[in-house]
Amino acid sequence: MTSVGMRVWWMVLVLLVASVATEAHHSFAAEYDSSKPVTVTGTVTKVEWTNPHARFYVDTKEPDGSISHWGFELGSPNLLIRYGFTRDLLKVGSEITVEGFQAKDASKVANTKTVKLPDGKVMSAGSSADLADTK
Amino acid sequence: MRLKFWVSILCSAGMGVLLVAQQAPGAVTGTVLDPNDNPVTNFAGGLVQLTNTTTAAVVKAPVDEKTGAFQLTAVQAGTYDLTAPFGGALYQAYTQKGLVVKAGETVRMKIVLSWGMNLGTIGDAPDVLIRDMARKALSMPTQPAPRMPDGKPDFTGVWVNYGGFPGDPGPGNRAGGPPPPGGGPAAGGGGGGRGPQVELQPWAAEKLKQNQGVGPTGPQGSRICLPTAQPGWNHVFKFVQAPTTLINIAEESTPGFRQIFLDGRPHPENWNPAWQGHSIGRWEGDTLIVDTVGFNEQVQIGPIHSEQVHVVERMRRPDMVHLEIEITTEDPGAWMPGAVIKQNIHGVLALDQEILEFICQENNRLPIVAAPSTGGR
Repeated sequence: MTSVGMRVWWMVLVLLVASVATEAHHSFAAEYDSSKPVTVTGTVTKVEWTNPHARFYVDTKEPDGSISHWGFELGSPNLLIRYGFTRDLLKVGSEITVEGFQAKDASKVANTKTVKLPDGKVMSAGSSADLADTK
Repeated sequence: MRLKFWVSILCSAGMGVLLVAQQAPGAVTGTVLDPNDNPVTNFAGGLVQLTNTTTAAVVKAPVDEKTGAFQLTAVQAGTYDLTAPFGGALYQAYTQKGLVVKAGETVRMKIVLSWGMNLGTIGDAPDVLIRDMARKALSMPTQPAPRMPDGKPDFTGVWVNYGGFPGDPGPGNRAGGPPPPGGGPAAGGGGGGRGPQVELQPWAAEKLKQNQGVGPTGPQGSRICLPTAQPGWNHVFKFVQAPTTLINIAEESTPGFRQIFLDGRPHPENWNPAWQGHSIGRWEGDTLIVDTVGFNEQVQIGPIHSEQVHVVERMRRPDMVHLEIEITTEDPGAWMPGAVIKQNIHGVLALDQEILEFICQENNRLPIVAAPSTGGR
């Protein structure tokens, strides 16, 4: 066998096509820091229930009396709805508690882990309850 | 003297028995529960592990995928640190220190995991979503696949991409590896592990080095809502089959549809290279062989590809609820002879689910990143 042929045989790699990702996909690890968990309690000021990632904004009062403005990222509304997280659950003006992971650049932006709503219910993405039907 | 001899023998034997009794192994058994008190089921690869705090000896056991139960047996008496490393994005890894196991005794316990999965990363590793969407179909008795009037299998249905199976080529589709704690893309698929390795022709390797990660196309195209080569083998997709055309509709995908022509037409001679190429299907028994050429160079296929890239998908619906697709990609223009990328898609009927509208551009905030892409995508 020629040297090229040998190299081909040694080098043939059978591998996975990069699994097709969500449009506008980006990596958590590229933008958020899993070693920087945050918990923010405050008032919802704005909700963007849009693709590719829903977002919402919370104002929280700091110990010194100042107001901090936080932005939180969620998954796409199509996935949220399957987890029972419908768009009416986040109401502007309501008091919520958000757990998340802060942006790597330490800005007041975080990737949302869970949201505790005013009635105490905790929304997360791990429920093993039956998914909401979308048919 | 003889009495002393026998006494000492008996004492030694007695000590021996005592020692053996003290060393009779204990056990730790129980169930792993989620925060809603439901047993953690359908979680492949879950395990519980004990590490002896004195000897560092390790005992581990898998968690039963059907019941969430585990049994650690032959555990020598001692003190242990227990971990249930269920893999970061879905559950937080569970740890408990100072678990005392006594000789001959069984510790029964419930391990209650905490949610690890972010609402913000449910698109990255939606294991629960996928398994819940597939659960109803998988619990039904086996039925034959439906057929078209001409007798050929009918692929019509809403399907969920059920992830990788052992034995699949490569590290697996979605379930290839646990994401890092706190969330993140799963290794081997779904955004992590982009850029599969395939031996490139020298000109392509050189071009890849120059272009790495720069610009709005290639690996970054999806960041600005541009199409991917095969519409979303991602979460849910749909097939609508007519005798002459098979339509593949995919959520979270641009443009969200692909046409596979079944009427025997060849690939066109005059063709503008396209993000999804041109697909024609022909039957071999009950297998539909879909042949796609005519891709442009901007869509991402492998680390880099030419317009000669060629994708073959072999599709089967072995029974009502299963869909199997074997994908083989080669590129005589940019990859070395014999270099192929293979992927298996395992679809399960997603009863009660529908494809929802997804307009990626409506509020996309992602900038183009100029830095070279690394493995953490």
